[in-house]
Amino acid sequence: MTGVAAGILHFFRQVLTVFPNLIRLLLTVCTRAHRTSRRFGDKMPMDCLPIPSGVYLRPDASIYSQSYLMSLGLAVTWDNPDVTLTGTGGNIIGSHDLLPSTLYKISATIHNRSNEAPAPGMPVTFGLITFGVGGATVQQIGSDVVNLPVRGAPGEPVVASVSWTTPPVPAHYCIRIEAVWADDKNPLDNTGQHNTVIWKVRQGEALSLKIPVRNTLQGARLLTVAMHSYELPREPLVRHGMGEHVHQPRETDEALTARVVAAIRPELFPAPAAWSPALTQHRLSLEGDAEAQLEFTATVPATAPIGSRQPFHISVAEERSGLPLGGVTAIFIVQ
Amino acid sequence: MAFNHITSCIPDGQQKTKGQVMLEHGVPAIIVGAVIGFLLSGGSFLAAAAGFGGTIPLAIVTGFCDWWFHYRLVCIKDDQCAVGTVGLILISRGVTDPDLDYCINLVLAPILKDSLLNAKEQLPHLPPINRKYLEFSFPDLPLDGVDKNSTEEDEGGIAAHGVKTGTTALHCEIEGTGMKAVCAAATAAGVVGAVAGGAAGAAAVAGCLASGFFFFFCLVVAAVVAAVTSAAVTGVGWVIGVIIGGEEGSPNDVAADPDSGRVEVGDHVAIIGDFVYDSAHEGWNELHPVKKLLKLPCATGTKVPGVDPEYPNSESSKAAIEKECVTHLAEHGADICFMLSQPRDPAVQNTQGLPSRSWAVHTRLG
Repeated sequence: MTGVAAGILHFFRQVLTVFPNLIRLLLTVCTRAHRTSRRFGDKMPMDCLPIPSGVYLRPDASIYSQSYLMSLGLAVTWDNPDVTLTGTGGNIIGSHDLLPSTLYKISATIHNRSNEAPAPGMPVTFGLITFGVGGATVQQIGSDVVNLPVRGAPGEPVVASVSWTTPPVPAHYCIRIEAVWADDKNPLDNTGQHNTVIWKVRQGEALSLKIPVRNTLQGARLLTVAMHSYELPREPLVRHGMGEHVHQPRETDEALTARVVAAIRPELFPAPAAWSPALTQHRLSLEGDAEAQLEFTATVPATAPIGSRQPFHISVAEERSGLPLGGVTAIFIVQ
Repeated sequence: MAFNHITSCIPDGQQKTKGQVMLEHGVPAIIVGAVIGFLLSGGSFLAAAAGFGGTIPLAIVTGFCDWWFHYRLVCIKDDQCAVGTVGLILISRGVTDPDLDYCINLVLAPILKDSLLNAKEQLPHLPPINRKYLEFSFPDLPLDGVDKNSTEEDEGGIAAHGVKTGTTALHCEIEGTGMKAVCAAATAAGVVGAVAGGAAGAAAVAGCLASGFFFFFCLVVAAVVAAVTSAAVTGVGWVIGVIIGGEEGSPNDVAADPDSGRVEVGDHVAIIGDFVYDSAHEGWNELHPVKKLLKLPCATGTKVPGVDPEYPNSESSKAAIEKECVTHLAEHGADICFMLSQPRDPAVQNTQGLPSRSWAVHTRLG
């Protein structure tokens, strides 16, 4: 027992001997940690910083974008419902039918799919491309800077517009509009085209429209040409779980998109046989940058009501991938 | 992933220092520790001293965490907006600062990021939307540290000889979750440490008395041994908390989310966050937490005034573009901030709830 007590006594004498050194060591460690902490402020600099998705805002500017809609499998019109091309008198003009050296106004309506993220100071650019499918950009017409508020806020959708005088040389054109936001949530629907031919026709008249097709993809491609007479719906499909359907669970974006795609499939809108519409080719094999001429023909039915309006939409896509190349809408107004 | 909001701010006048809160936690805790030690030992004052010492680290941890989460930030105004240039990006990490917060020091428009201007020099140039961040909000909240946040990480951009090397900026903090894990682990370890410390203190007392030392000396030994043992266990808990906190909510974690974004030094942004005064440092205003961040575009090209059409990428052209950009942001900052505030407007929310405004593909299609 005396031995155990002596052992404990010895242990505590040793502890007490090293205790000041232990304290000194602790102080040294703390001092060094404090110095390091002060030097770097406890924070390390970084070049870039990931921002959480709920904090980082991405606006989702949206225009009627034929390439985006075709990629979803929808029938499209190239008479862009978000674009108006007007003459000095305010009359609507087809992009194919522009006169040389004449002042026009082009307006584009830009929507925002985001409920949270506005796009202040967003440039909207207007470009001129040669008429047809896959036309090369001829010139930038101009740009307008707009403030696009969040969806549903006053000022959304916003209208961007430019005034523009056509080149002095007569030519047929298409118009390309792009809402430019570097960090857009869905950049696929930021670009739309307005490629229209608007002709006044007579009953029984034979029609012929030549449409240049250019392969804008790399290398030789097999292209398919589709034609239909789709009309925009009078009313859009409404999301389930809202409005009259409020008793149902709120429909997801994916489910609503699937319903829209099912309702607007190209095969649901065949071109009217009474007009005898025809295309010289339904498939084209083109080298990269090569161009071919497609011809659309039709005959205005003798029974076509005066004042009626008949659209034909001709769209071209790569056969293998379904990648849209472009298209044209011809609208015939019977007089 | 929404923003983290673990800390809360308190009205002016109710803020407390770290020491105050630790004392408020410490006094009751160590009394309880001493009483438990006294009772468990059947009335030994030496055991009470061990209980007293063993509880100190736990009290320090709970006091520190309570202060960190609830008493260091003074509320000024919620959901405020600032517009400017990202001047510096910092992340907290490691054992000494494990909260995994990440910060943006925002140079307020129209101040140029590399201007090296301090707060006093910037104030006359700032529009109202940005000026308030560098001004006093309450008379009792000194802004002694206002120039500590700058485009340089070291000492607020002041070099050794007092030469300014950084531009004063608004500190904007995105909260991490690290401190939550650390406080939970350290508190749990603090409880274990209090028990272990008490036991170690009691053992030390036995040895001390057997050695024939004076009673009061053994009382001190009991308390010190208990405190050191408890501190060691609590410290281990702190480190475990740092490890547990790991990557959750950290930049690496955030970057793995495909919907996350990215900002870089030099980007122009608008930030919405709660406008608070941080009393933990020398005293400065900040946006904490950052709730929304929007990257802003700037005009480029030869149409920008001052850009050399022949050398649009020259340093002078770049400087002209930057100057035009921050000037534009300052002029339109109020509009930008208004647009960012619109989603909180009930009328806008109502409109967004209309079926006609809830399209997925295009407004004309559904």
